[in-house]
Amino acid sequence: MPSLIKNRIFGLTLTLNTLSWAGLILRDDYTKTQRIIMKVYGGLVFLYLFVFTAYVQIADLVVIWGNIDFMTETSLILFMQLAVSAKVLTLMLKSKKIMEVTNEADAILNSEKKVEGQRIIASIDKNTTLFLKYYGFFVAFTIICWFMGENTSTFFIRSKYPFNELKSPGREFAFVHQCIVVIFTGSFDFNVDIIIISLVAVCRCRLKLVALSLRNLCLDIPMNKRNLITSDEEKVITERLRNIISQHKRALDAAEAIKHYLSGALLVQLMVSIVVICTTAYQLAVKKSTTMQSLTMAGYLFGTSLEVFLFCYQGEFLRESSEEIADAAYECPWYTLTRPLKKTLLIIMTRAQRPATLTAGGFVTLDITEYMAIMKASYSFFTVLQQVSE
Amino acid sequence: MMTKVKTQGLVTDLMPCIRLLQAAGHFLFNYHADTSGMNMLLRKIYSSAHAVLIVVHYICMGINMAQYKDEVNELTANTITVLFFAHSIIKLAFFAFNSKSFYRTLAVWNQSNSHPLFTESDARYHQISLSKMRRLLYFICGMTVFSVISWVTLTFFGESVRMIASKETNETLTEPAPRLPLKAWYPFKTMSGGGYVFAFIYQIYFLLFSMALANLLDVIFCSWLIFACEQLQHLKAIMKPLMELSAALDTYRPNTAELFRVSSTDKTEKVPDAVDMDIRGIYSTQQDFGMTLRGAGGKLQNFNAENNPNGLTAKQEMLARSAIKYWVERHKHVVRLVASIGDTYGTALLFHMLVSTITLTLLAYQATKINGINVYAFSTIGYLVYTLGQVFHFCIFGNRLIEESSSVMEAAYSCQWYDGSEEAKTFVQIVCQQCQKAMTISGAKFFNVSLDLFASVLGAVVTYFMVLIQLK
Repeated sequence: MPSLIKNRIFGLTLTLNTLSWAGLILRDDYTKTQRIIMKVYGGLVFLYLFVFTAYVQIADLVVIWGNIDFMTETSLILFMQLAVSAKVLTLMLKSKKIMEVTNEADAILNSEKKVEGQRIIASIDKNTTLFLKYYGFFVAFTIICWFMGENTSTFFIRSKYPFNELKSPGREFAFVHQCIVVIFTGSFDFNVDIIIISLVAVCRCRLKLVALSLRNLCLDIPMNKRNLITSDEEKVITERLRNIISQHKRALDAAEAIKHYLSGALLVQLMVSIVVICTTAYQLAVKKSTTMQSLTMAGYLFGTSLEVFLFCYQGEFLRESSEEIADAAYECPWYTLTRPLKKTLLIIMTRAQRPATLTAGGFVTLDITEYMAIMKASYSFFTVLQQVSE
Repeated sequence: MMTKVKTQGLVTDLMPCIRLLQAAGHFLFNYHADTSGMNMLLRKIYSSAHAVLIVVHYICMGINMAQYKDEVNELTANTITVLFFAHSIIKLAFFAFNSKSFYRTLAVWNQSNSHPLFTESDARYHQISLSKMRRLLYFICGMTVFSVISWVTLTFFGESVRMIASKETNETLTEPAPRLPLKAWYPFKTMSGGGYVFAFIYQIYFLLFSMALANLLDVIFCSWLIFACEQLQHLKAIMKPLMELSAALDTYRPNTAELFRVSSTDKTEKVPDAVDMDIRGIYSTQQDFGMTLRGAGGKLQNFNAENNPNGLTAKQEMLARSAIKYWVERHKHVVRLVASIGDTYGTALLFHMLVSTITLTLLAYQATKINGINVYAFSTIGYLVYTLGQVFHFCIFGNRLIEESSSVMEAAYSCQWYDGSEEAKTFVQIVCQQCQKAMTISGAKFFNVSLDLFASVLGAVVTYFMVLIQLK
C-alpha cells in the first residue's frame, strides 16, 4: 500500500491524497502496472461522475426544452459541472508534470534552514489552510442545502436516465448516482481549487524566500568605515548572489510552468463563473422562490464569487511577491558593493520588473483589478437579463 | 499642570492633530506625559462615553429610517444621512481595532539618519512639511465647523415636515416633524419644550463630534503623505550636490603632446585590464587632469591623483560614498514609511470608498428631484460637495505621493550624472531602476489612491445623474 503523499503545505497534503485515492492523480512510487490500473480507474471515475451525468442532464434538457425555469436550473448545474470537469481533466492529463513541480518545490521548502524563511513558509501554510477551511465550510454548506432543498426532480438533479428510474432497480441506481454526483462533484471542486491555490501559494513562497536571501545578502558582513567591501567579502557575496540568481530562475520557471498548465482550466472557470453569477443573481432577484431555493441560489452566487476571488487574490499575491524581489535587492546595502556586483543586482532588479502572473487562457491576467472587471461584467449582464424579462 | 511628554519624529509634528483626536473621543491613549492608572482610566471613560453617545444617536437615526421605510423619498433621504454618518462609526471602530498599527506608523520616523552636508536641506524641508500639515489641519477644522454651522442654520429655513405619500389619493402629504438638524427617533417628545432643546443640543454635539472623528483621521493620513512627499523633495534636492561631490572634471583639457608621449617612468604601456578598468597608470601628470573646475570650492581643485581615476582623494571618495549611503538609507526609510501608511490606512480607505460610492449614487438620484433654490437643493448640494470633498481630500495627497516618487528618477537623470564618478553613475542607474515604479497607497489592493480614482467617482456620479434625468 503506497504511503501518503507528504507535502510541507497542509492544503496540498490533504488534497493531493484525496485526489490520488480517487485515481485522478498518480503517485510517483507506483509501478507500471499500478499506474495503468490507476489510470483506468481514474478514467472510469471521470466517466461516471462527469460524462454520464452530463449525458443524463443533456437528455433531460432535450425533453424539457421550452420550459425556461427548468432549463435554467439544469443548465446552471451543467455549467458548474463543466467548470469542475475542465479543472479535473487538466489535473489528470498534466498530473505527472504537476507532481514534478510540486515535488521540486517541496524539496526546496523543506531544505530551508533560516528562521525567517521558516516563518515565511509557516505563514503561507497558515494562509492556505485558512482558505481551505473557509472554502470547505462553504462547499459543505452548499451540498447540505442541495440535499435538503425541494427540487423539481425526482431526486436531486433533473436528469433523464436511459433506463426507467422510477422502478427499482433503476431507482436505486439513479439515487446512488445522484448522491455520489452531488457529494463528489462538490468535494472534487473543492480539492482541485485548493490544489490550484496551494500551487500558486508555493510559487509565491519560493519567490519570497529569494527576496529574503537578497535582503540578507550582506548579512554578516560588517560595515566598515570606507563603506566598501573587501575583496574577500566580495568573493563571498558573489557566491551568494550566484545561488540567489539560480534560485530566482528556478522559481520563475516553476511559476511559468504552473501558469501554463492551469491557464486553460482557469479560462473555462472564468467564463462559467460569469454565467453562473448573473444567472443566480437573476434567479434571486426576479423569480419568486422558497427560502430553501433562495438560500441555495445565494449559496451558488456567493460560492462562485468566492472561487473566482480566491484565484484572483492568489494571482495578485504572486505578482506582488515577484515584484518584491526588486525592492528586496534595493534593501540590502548595495552602495557598499563593488561595481560588478552592483551591475548584477541591477540586472536582477530589471528582471523583477516583469512579474510572474497567473493567467486565464493566456490573455486575462488574474488579479484584483480583473476580479472587479468580472464583477462589473456579471452585473451588467444581470441588468440586461432583468430588462429582458420585464 | 500637564507635563510635556517627550516625543520624537512624526509624533512631535502631528501633536496638535493627535490632541484633537483624543479630544474628539478616538481611542488614542498613548503620548500622554502622565500615564498613571487613574488618568488612563479617566481617558478611557471619556472615549467610551463619546463612543456610546455617538453610537446611540446613530441607532436612533437608524430606527427612524426603519420607521419610515415605506416612503420612498423619506427612505432615500434617511439612507443618505445614515450612510453619511457611517463614516464616523467605521473610522471610530477602525481606529479602536487598529491602534497598534497607527502607533507603529507614527513611530516609523523616530530614528532617522543624518549627514553633516545635508542637515540644512533636511531641516528646511522638514519645516515646509510642518507648515503644510498645520495649514491642512486648520483648513479641515475650519471646514468641519463651517459645515456644522451651515447645517444648523439651514434647519431654520423651510418647512420642517415629512413627506408622506397618502395611500388613497396617491399624493404627497406633509406631516409635521420637529425642527431639528437630523431626523431621528427619540423616546421622548421632541416637538417642543425641554425635549426639543435637549434633542437639539444632542444633535449639535453629534454633528460636530462625528464629523470631527472622520475628518481628523483623514487629516492624519494626509499629514503622513505630506511628510513623505517633503522627504522625497529633500532627496531630489540633494541629488545635485551629491553628484558634484563625486564629480570628475568637466573642463578637462588634456595636453595633447603628453597624451601620446610614452611615459618615461613606465617602459611598458599599461594596457587597461579587461576586467578592472584601472586607468591610474595611464594618466599620471597633473597636466593631464587639467587645473580648473567650475568654482565648486577649493577642495575639488586639488588633484593629487594618488589612488583614483576621477581625481578625488581617498577622503573625498569616502565623503561621496557616505553621502550616497545617506541618500539610499533615507530613501529606504521613506519607502518603509509609505508601506506602513498603506498597511495602516488601506482598509479604512476601502470602506470609505464603498460607503461613498453608495451615498453618491443615491445623491445623484436625489439631485434629479431638485426643482428650485430651496432648502432641499441646498442640502443635497451640500451633501454632494462634502462627500466629494472627502474623497478629493485623500485622492489629491495620494496623487502627489505618486508624482513625487516617480519624479525621483527624473531628478536623478537631470543632475550632472555624466560628470560623476563611476560609482555615482552606478548609483544613478540603480536609483532610476528602482524609482521607475511609483510609490502608491492602495485601498487593500482594490484601487490606487490617486486623482484617477476621484475622476472615475465623479464621472460615475455625473453619468448616473444624466441617465436618471433622461429617464424622468
